[in-house]
Amino acid sequence: MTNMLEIKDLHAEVGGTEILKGLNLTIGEGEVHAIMGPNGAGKSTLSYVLSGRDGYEVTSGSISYRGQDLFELAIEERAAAGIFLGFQYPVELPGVSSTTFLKTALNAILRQRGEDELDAMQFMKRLRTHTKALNISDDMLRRGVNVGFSGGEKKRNEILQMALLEPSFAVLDETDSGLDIDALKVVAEGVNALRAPDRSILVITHYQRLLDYIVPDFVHVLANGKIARSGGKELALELEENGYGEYASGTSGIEAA
Amino acid sequence: MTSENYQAQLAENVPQTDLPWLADMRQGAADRFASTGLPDRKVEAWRYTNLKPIRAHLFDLSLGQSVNPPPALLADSLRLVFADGQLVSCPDNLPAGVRLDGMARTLAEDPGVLNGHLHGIQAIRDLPLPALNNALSRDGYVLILEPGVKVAEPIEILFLSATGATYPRNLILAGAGAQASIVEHYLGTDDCDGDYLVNSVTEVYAATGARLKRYKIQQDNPATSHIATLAGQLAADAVLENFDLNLGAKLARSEIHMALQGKGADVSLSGVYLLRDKQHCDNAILMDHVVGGTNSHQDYRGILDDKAHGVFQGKITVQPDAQGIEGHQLNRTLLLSDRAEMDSKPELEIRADDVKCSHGATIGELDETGLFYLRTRGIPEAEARQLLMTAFIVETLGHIDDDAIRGVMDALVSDWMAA
Amino acid sequence: MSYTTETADQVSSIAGEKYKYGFVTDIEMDLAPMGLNEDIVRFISAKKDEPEWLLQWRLRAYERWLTMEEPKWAKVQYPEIDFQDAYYYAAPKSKEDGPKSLDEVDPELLRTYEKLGIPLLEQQMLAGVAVDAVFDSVSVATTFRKELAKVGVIFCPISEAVKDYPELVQKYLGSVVPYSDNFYATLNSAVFTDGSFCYIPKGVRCPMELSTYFRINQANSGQFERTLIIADEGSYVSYLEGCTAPQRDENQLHAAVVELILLDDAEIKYSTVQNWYPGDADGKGGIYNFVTKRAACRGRNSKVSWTQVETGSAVTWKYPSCILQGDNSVGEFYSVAITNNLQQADTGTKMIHIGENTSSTIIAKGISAGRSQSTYRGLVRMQPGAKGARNYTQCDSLLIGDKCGAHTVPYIENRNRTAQIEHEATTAKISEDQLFYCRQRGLTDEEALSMIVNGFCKQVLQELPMEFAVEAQKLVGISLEGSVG
Repeated sequence: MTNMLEIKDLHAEVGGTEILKGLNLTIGEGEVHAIMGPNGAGKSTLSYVLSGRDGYEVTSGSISYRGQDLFELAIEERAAAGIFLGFQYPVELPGVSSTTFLKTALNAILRQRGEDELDAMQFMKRLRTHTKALNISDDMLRRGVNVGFSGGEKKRNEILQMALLEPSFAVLDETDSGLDIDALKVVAEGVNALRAPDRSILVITHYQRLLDYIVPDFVHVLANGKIARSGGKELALELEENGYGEYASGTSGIEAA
Repeated sequence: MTSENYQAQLAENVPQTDLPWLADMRQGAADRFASTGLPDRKVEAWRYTNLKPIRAHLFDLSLGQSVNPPPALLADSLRLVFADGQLVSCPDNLPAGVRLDGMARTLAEDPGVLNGHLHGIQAIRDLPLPALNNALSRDGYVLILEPGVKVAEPIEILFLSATGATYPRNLILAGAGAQASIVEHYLGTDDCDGDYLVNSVTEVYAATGARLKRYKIQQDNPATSHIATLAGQLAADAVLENFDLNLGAKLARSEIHMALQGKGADVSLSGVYLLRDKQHCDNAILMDHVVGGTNSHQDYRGILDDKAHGVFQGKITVQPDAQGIEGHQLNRTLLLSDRAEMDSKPELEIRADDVKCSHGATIGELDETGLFYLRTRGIPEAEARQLLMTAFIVETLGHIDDDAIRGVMDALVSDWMAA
Repeated sequence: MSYTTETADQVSSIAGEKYKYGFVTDIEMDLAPMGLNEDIVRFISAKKDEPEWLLQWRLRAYERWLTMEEPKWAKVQYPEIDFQDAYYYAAPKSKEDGPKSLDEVDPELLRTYEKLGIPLLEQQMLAGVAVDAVFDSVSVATTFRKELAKVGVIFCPISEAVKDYPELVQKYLGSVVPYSDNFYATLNSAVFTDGSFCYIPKGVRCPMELSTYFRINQANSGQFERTLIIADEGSYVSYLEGCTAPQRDENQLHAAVVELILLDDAEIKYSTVQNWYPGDADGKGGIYNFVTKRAACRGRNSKVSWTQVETGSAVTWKYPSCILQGDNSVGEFYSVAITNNLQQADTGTKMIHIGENTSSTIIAKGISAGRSQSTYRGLVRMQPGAKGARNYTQCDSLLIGDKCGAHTVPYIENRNRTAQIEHEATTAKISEDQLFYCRQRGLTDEEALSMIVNGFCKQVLQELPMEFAVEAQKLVGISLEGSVG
């Protein structure tokens, strides 16, 4: 069986500063992994390298996604291939209604996969099945993407997109930041509903709290640009107890982006 | 007046000098002015201001007078006093690394420190009024700060005028990391006939990391004309804060040219104009972001009563490849009278893409709802009006972070409102 | 379905296609001798069989024009125009006798308009849109005239209106834009050849959209059309215009004049999608679009709304204006100006508030890409009598790429204490975060760009009638092709 993701000796720079310094990580199909780590460890950098953002320069190493070299793919090709990034700070798109955006994105991905696009009716039908579960109002769908959304609404909107785009591999970057406990539960339930044998999820978080609700199969500690330690879900509890003190030395203090 | 008339008048009035560079400069400026004359309203920069009233006074050069200057505005300030354009008093105990003196005396004693800087700022060199100033100026102040010098005392310059035309020529050279606060105060004497002209130029060179604060208080007599040009050049990380309080003169023009030439340079220009009767005040600003990584702010607010006419023309220019710019501009005006008039022209000229620039302008009357609200709470109408007017300009006054100077400004503002 | 979805779809389906209206129609033409002089003015007037008063008006304009200088204040640069090196009259030969009905229009012309997406045969047309098709110097067809006549709406070429409704034309022509107004309007007054005329009688709500489709085809010719719309008391009309031209290496001049007159309680909604040939990527060729448009809200409670989407032309110089004379009259200006490659646009509006409680809204969106320069220039003036008048202006500029420029030059003049003016403007570059976010969700560069720019322009695009909105959305995407990546 091919792994979902294999990262080997990954080095990456931002603005000439090396942030990832030899990261190794393998994620199997259907697995949920959590990456935890102190600020500045390179967590967000990893999510941007996975999604192909400009300015995040890979200097050596490889990432293989379902057996394919990820670096050969442009940002949108990665999206079409099933990689989804849930943003820590979802971007506002004034004037672009959420519905339009979702339909355009879904059809773009279907098109790139060589599948039939959905017409307005089919799309709305599909959309409705997801909005209800995530408590997303029609009003939110009419507004500009993320414009005027509360922190919780923005994160729910990210999960809605994930549900709709049905990725094979989702990276959730600090999805818990800025959420109160109720909002966190709604988001976590949304994510749990999307767990599937052919879908892998990488949860990036600073706090253990989220992992009470999205229970990972594996937990890794990212520190100073490398995986410093790996373990089961109990590792998260240990970190909660002891903090990141022992991993903090040598961090550059740059939490890129 | 024809070009020949100007030539003749200039030939008579350009001061003599033994310094060849200075003679050349004055003659060049005189020729320049003779060829252009005063700009009329067809010139875009003068679209809203008619210079006709000053034409008759241009060569009515005043020769100074003996006066009793009023007390200083600020305690413990280093104070220079000019009467009708000529230096009459100068502090003798100056901190180390500070040269603060009259322009005429500096030209006589140590002209080398001025060469290359005097009339050196390209942006204003060819403009008619600065050129005329350069040709005819006899005095002004010179402030030279050695690198790293931080002047603790405020520097206060009083230009007291009673008659004729004066052409103050001022120069500020701040060395790297130097710091100072300067107040330029233009004031009319109580007993003069009032119809005089001031056409001043202040050039500012701020070297790397220098930090300057300049405050200008314009309280010339109500029948006079006051034209002032401020030109600044800022090197990397230099900071200039300028505040203009316009209260006096019948015709006032404050023109500011700023060139942000080094990364990290930061200019903040703010001003308040309070006008009544037939006063006319024109604030014209050109903010030139020559290189990337520079920031600027403009905040001008005014209150116009009676038949007053206010003008604001502010322009932000971002040169090609000057990336990473923030430039903001705000102009707000209150009209108190049916015959007052405000013209505002905030302008952006952007030739690089990594910018965040904005401008905003509002013109309107006092908030009647607010007035009503205050009166229902028992505040008499006059007082309520004053409160709302003060509230309208208080944010702009807030740019003044020196308590003593803020106190002076607040007092002048409330005097105007109470009048 | 929303506009932007459509746009993205359409942009991708026509990828690679730069200017699809660049073809030339091969048709036999009737041309005036090249150049401009008094005889040419007389020639045009004679061709149109005009009354003496109009000839005299043209001649006065021509005399005046000779004394005028080209305006230089706009932030646009182009080589000196040789006004003698152009044809001032070019009409399809088949037009000579004038088609009596649509069935008699030269099939070549019908094919041309069909190719432009404007079928002129009524059975093929979009229901609810009447079209006047102006080809070079003449109107070649006007559809749905009978339908409109039933409710008293006059919609015809202005050359016909001069003959059929002389009292209306004589009363209103030049009453909003006098022949002496400005260099290009004066030139137009001397040599205008055709254009649309429209009169909406008292109390009539025009039952369909009226539109004029302008096409420049002939090489070395200019187009000087004149549009006159009169909305009588309590009437309403929505009017659209579209413009295209073949792809040529030489620049061609388009100097139009549009006059709108609104009486009490009348409303005109005037929309433009301007897609003249913009020149190639190196700035060769393209139309000089020097246009004077002005609306006079003479009546109380009248309302005029200008909406423009300017994507074409090498150089645009255009300030659709509102004279708000009637008390409570309303002026609106919604504009999107997109420049790419070496295009230059200097456009905006004038809102002259004369009457009491008049109000105006200006929403201007400028998008600059490539090495282009885009300027918003606007005037808001509150006259002493404009008691209680209001203006709100918002102009935003978006920069795509580091070689273009965006400029904002507003003039704000208030002579009435009780009048309120609010003006806001911003300039910023297109957000990398937004582009990345869209691409992470699967959109290509160009789809992402088109979607973000359409979002940026939404306030303006939603003002367009549906039929035009789709076209405009599409244009936004196409105009920016090649500006990212």
